[in-house]
Amino acid sequence: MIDKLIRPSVFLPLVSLVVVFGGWEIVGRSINPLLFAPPSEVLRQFGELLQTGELQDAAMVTVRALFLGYFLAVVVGIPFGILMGAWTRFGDILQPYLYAIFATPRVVLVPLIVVWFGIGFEARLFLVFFWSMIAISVNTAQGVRHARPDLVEVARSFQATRLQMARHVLIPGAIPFVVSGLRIGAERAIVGVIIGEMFLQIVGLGGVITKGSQELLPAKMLCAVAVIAVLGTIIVTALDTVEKRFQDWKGAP
Amino acid sequence: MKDTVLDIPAIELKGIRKTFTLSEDRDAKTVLALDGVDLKIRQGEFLTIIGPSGCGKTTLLRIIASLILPDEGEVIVEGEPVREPGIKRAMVFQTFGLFPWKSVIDNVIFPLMVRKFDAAEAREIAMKHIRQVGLDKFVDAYPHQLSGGMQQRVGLARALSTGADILLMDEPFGAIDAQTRELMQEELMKICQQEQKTVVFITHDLDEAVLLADRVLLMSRGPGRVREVIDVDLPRPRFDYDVRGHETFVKVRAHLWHELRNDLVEQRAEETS
Repeated sequence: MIDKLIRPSVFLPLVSLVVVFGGWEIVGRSINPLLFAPPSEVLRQFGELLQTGELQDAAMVTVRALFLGYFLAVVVGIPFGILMGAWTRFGDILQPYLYAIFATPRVVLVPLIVVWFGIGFEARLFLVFFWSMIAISVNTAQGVRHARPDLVEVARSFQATRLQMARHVLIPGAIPFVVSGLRIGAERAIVGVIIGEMFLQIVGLGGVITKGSQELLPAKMLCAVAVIAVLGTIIVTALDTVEKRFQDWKGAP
Repeated sequence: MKDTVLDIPAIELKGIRKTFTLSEDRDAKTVLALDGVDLKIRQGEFLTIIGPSGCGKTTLLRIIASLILPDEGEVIVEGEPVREPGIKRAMVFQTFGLFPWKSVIDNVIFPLMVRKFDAAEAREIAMKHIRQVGLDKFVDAYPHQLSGGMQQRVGLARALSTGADILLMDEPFGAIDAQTRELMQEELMKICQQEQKTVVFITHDLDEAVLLADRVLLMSRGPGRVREVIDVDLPRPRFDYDVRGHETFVKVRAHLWHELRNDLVEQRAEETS
């Protein structure tokens, strides 16, 4: 037990946590409570928010828009990406717009979305969907287009049919790229849902942050930030693990 | 009956010409890669092809495999003109060409699965060839877990599992370290002798070309032509004595090197002038 604690990879993060949270507590207590909150206050606020059910309700709202939007992005984004990758002309036609979308800060879309969808659930859903779908499609298209020519030739030399080629060479070859797209798309989706809740309709976890700031309750904001951080970390870590698993599939050409 | 069949060459090439276009522009430069290659490869023969880099060795092999078509000329396999890859020819690739998402057994089964073999039968055939190349302990391993030499054993087992009489090998040991390569050369000779395979083997290694071959084909530098075909009259099996010390080996190798060197010197002179 002691041996384990002595290892730098274990005790350094522990020391870091103690120092940072200890320092935060000390500094937090000495600052105007309207501007900043120490961990103890955040914890107290957390209990309160849980008791009133505000935090759970907010989290549910966020998760609902996030998951539904992301689900739609996956369902639409992957086939769209396959089309873009397999049919080069289609990809060429879309290219300028994709570049434009990538080069433009995506927040500029928010007012447009308000015009199209209002500020309700649909608007937030679209924000999540659109932001993550682009990433999923572009990565999928890349995967389809980057089929390894050497493996295509191998399959051809053994007289694989088109269907067999797709099933045993093209699709498995594209999977690592698709999974990368899913991970990047999830990151985008999380940003999208929170932006929507902070700037469109003040609901969900993003809404809790905005309200906390308006009510001058920093502890409340920090509670929501912590929940978002944990939620995001779980989702991204899970997809990251899946992504790493498929790295070997890319292989050396 | 076997004798009448043996009269037909395993592979016959008639006036193979191939030009490549370098870019998609209208005034594109075209390069003549192969300029009239005629060749007969006997059944059960081990033919190695050597030549300066860029002489069209690999192009020629890919034409024999029908992976690309010649602009002019014909490829005839066991008496029949071919224009598509076929069951009588199996290829072994320089970079192994294994599917990273398939285990050793699934890689070896691939050609059989493509041809809709019964699953149990396919597995049995694949296992036999995996044992033959000494990989029985790695049946369920994935390519990235194997060394280069082991990966090429899988490539070889896969080609053997097709049951093809003709093996087309494109510098198969080029990416493998020198000691492993020697071992694999030995094993390849053993297998080919046992199974009576016809082999077309591309290499840029002079020793390898002479060691393995019944005949060595020397290609001229681009545009590729058959410059010379040399018989290697060395007793087989060639691994239980010092082949490299044998008089014939030394003579053939010296001759090949002399010819190759002239080409290389000329090529170098052209590049620097």
